[in-house]
Amino acid sequence: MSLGALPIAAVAAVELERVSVRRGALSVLEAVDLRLEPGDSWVIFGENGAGKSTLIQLVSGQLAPSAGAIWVAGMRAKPELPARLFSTGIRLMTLLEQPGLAPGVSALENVALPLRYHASALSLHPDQATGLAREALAALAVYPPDLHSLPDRLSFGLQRRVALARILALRPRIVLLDDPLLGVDSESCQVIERVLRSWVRDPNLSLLCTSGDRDLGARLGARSADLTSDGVSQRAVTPTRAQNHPARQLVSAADPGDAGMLHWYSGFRTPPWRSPSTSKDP
Amino acid sequence: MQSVPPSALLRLPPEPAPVIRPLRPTLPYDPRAAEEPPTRPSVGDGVAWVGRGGIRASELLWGVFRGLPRSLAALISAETSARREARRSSIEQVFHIAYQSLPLMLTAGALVGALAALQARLVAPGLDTGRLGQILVTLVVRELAPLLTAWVVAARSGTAIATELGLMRQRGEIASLEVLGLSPDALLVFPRLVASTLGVLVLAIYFGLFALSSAALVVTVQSTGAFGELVSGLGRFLVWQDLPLFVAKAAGMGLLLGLVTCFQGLRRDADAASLPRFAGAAVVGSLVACTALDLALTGLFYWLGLGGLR
Repeated sequence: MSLGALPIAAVAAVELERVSVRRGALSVLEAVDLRLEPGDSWVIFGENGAGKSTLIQLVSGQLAPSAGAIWVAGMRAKPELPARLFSTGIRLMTLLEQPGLAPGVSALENVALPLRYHASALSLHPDQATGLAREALAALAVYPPDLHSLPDRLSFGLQRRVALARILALRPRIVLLDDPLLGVDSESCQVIERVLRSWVRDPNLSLLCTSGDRDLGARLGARSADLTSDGVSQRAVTPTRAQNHPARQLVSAADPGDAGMLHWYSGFRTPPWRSPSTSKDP
Repeated sequence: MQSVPPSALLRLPPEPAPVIRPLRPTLPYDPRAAEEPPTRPSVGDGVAWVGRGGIRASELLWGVFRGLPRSLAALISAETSARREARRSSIEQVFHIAYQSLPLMLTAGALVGALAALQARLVAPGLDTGRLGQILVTLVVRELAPLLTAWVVAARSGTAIATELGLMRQRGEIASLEVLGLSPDALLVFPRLVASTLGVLVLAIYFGLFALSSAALVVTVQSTGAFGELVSGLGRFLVWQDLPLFVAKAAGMGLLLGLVTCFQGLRRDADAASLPRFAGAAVVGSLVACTALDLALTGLFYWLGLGGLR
């Protein structure tokens, strides 16, 4: 089994070695060590100001550490790393604290643009981008008329869902989430958690999620850890998946929402636009 | 059980004596700073000041000019579909920068040409119409058309580019593009550079044409039959070297203003409060850079003996 071009056992999906971040005299993170294995899922809990957003910014390359080293799929984290990794098949996607949607175009276009941009790497015809964007938004329960609304007209919860749909549509392999449930309504929480559960169950996807919700890790069935002043300390280890099982076998029949999500996501991994005759699901 | 009187519960421990530490003056206008004896500037201070200024200027120039190789490299290394998106975005930007500025530039061109012809006639009433053609070639084609076009585009679109990019960084849009594997250099900077370069070039052509046309109209109204003389004068003094000069000036200024405004808009050290300052710096920087380029190219043109002055 391999993670893109790299052997899965050789490198960690994400690795932090003695990473520290200082802002003036203030120490935000101090000597943090973290290793996210390929296919693994971690939810890191932290109080306000614990450094959750800083951690995600570091791994996504948006912030340089004061000390230490950060590796993503064996490469140094830096802003242009996701673009470089994309061409090798390792799709590193991050949901930052701000949704960061383009204000002048609709929610649908916000999801379609990255698809059109990466159409060559995804073996996708640009005309299919809008259809796939619509599907991804539907998976996040964003329907008309919100689909055609400008992001500023949407609630914060919907904006987050659109931002998450952008990631979902690009079929990620490594996902970094900065407190995805922060400030969203209960309906959005349910929808987002459904997507996160499907990602946790996907053996081909590595997930690093920070949260201010202590129980999120347990709810998703992911490994949990606390981000404290002493660094990242593992709280409890919850086995999330049986290693050699296909993802769809793990879907609980009692949870049709998850099943639908995973079905949709699994369908993506066998690109339907390349082999139209191949059925997406039994 | 012995009850505790409420007054005993309210008894607080004695407060510690306040510790007063002398505060070091930190602000330049702090009155305590005036108590310090003034130090006489030494030669070393002057050298350090020049050195710091030189480093800042070189950092600024490096930041501005590396935008071009960076965006080209990002575009070359991008996938085919990414290049297609960059092309689409470039067309949109050309529409915003060039097409939407066209009425303004046509009006400005017509007014400037008419004013130049009127002033020439007023200052030198007996001026030969053929000579007026030389003045128009020198003034409008070689100088005003590219320079004024660049100034108008810098004022109109330069602020828009710097503010838009600055707001995109503030709102986290640039970061969210990067974390999705989309290159801001290919998707945002390159289209704006293309649009500003092409925009100033095309608008300068329209500006020059409308300026010459309105000048011809003024001359014809003033004296019948002068139109033919003016046209022949223009033809006589307009040399083929004017074309590369015009293109180099207009395209160079367009590229320069695009680089300056994109650099100021994408500054990582800009926050919401400093955004208007950087937008202003983008326009002022563009105006200065375009004028300096105009001067340099004009100097080179005449130094090479290509001016055709007779």
